[in-house]
Amino acid sequence: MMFRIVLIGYIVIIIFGRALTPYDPRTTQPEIALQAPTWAHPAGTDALGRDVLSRALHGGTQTLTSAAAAACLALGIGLLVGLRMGGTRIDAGIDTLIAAGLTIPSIIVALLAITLIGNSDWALIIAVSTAQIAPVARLTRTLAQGAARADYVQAADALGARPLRLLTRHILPNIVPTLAAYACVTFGACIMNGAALTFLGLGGEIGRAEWGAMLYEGRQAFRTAPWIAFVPGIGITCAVLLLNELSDRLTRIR
Amino acid sequence: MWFARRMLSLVGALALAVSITFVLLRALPGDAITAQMRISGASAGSIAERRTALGLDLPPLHQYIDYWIDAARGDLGVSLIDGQPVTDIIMNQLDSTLLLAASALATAAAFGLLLGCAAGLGGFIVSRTARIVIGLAISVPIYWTGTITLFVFAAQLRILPAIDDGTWRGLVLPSAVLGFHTAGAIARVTWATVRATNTADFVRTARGKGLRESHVILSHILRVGLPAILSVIALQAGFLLGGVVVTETLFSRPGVGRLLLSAALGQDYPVVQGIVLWSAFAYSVVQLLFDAANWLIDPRLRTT
Repeated sequence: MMFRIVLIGYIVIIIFGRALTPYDPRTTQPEIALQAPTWAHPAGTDALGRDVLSRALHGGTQTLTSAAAAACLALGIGLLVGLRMGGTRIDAGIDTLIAAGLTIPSIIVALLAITLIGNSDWALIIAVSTAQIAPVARLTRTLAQGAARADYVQAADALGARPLRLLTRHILPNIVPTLAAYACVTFGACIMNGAALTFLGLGGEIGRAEWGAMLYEGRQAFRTAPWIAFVPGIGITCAVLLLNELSDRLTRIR
Repeated sequence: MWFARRMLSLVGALALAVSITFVLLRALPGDAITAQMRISGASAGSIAERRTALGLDLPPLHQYIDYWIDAARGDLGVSLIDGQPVTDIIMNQLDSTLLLAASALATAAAFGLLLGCAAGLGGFIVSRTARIVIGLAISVPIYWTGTITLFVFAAQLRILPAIDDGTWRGLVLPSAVLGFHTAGAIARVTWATVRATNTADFVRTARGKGLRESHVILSHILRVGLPAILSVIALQAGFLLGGVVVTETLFSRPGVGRLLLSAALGQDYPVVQGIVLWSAFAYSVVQLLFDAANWLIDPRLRTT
């Protein structure tokens, strides 16, 4: 019960919080730059005198939407690759390919995406999702192979059901719950990694109201104004904690 | 046989990682030489000359084969920016990376095992607290913890330096922060394993024999769970050795991770390629070492 209240509260803050902010996240007021938290500015102000809380509330939607898009992309591709792998003999080859994919730094992928399609949100989304495809594919493969061994799948196969029917009616329904639990973990990883890439200056422009960019600003000003990083950091932490807990709960239902 | 197959698969992964990076880097338009010489106002002719000298005008397949032949001799090419051998450039950063990886991993292993055991075997309050700490270690972004610790220990208390000063004091904050977050993954696996083993019959027998609890935990519960725990430690060690760009950036430390970032941004492809080769190599070696360790620890592996 407690968990649901917190989860719903978080979603409400992310979606409607931006409507309640008294300040515009882009309005600069140099005369109050780098102010520590006060009643007027509960999370302080940044180097240009912008209200940090307003920026964090606006930035949340940005960060979470990009991460969600990356997670969906990774899950979609990973699921297709994983299911394809489960039924073929070139399994070991693809497994090696995946192991290789795991060792390629996502910085390079991010850089490639930025160079090819420009420094947009999509470059960040592609870079973040690429790193998550391999684990999803691996998990799907393992689950699908396990499910395919069940007697009723063998029976359906013996009765002459086509592969597509076997897949959609017998195998998928069995592996979806576990995949849903893993999807939450993937979403959390996308939030963390996306903000990390922005923090490094790859993907997403620094200076925009976005959590990764704000954490970068906070690191730059850690001696004078560490509060810039405080609220975005808590936002990311809560999102990932909630997603991990949701994943655990989904696993337990099974 | 089992070992040979593992080794083959790791070598395959290494070769593939290098090949994929090779293709990806060639897909990027431009390189450091062109960018740099154009800024300094060099003529098109002298740019072409320099490119020819470095073999950049050859067909990609030719370059690719040359790369492997040279790599087999231990020559990874020269940096496009200052002409230094890539192996030297990486070696210069390696000390710092190895030091941070070793100290962070030691912190993480100790802390992770402790937390995992506390979460799996402790009483209500101990296990609840441990679980909350594990959750935080996994969910809090490292760039946040890093900024906060920098503020507290370097800016307010002024007891530790914010920028690496080459002594042990510069190593404390990065390895503590990195170790704490790495401990999360280790603790989670330890917790799951310990909880599953704690109810096993042989553990009940060990307790029934009147063995001390510390002996039961160390020699019975942890020993059985060790392969799973070691494999997650190996995975983390592989990541750490490849360079941790965020931690190095946070604490302004030299290291392979930051070298990768600057080389990638500067389009210095031989250096990027060399680092990918190094991290894939380090990852494979660590995996092999832990495979060998598992083989020694777990007699069941030797029967198949």
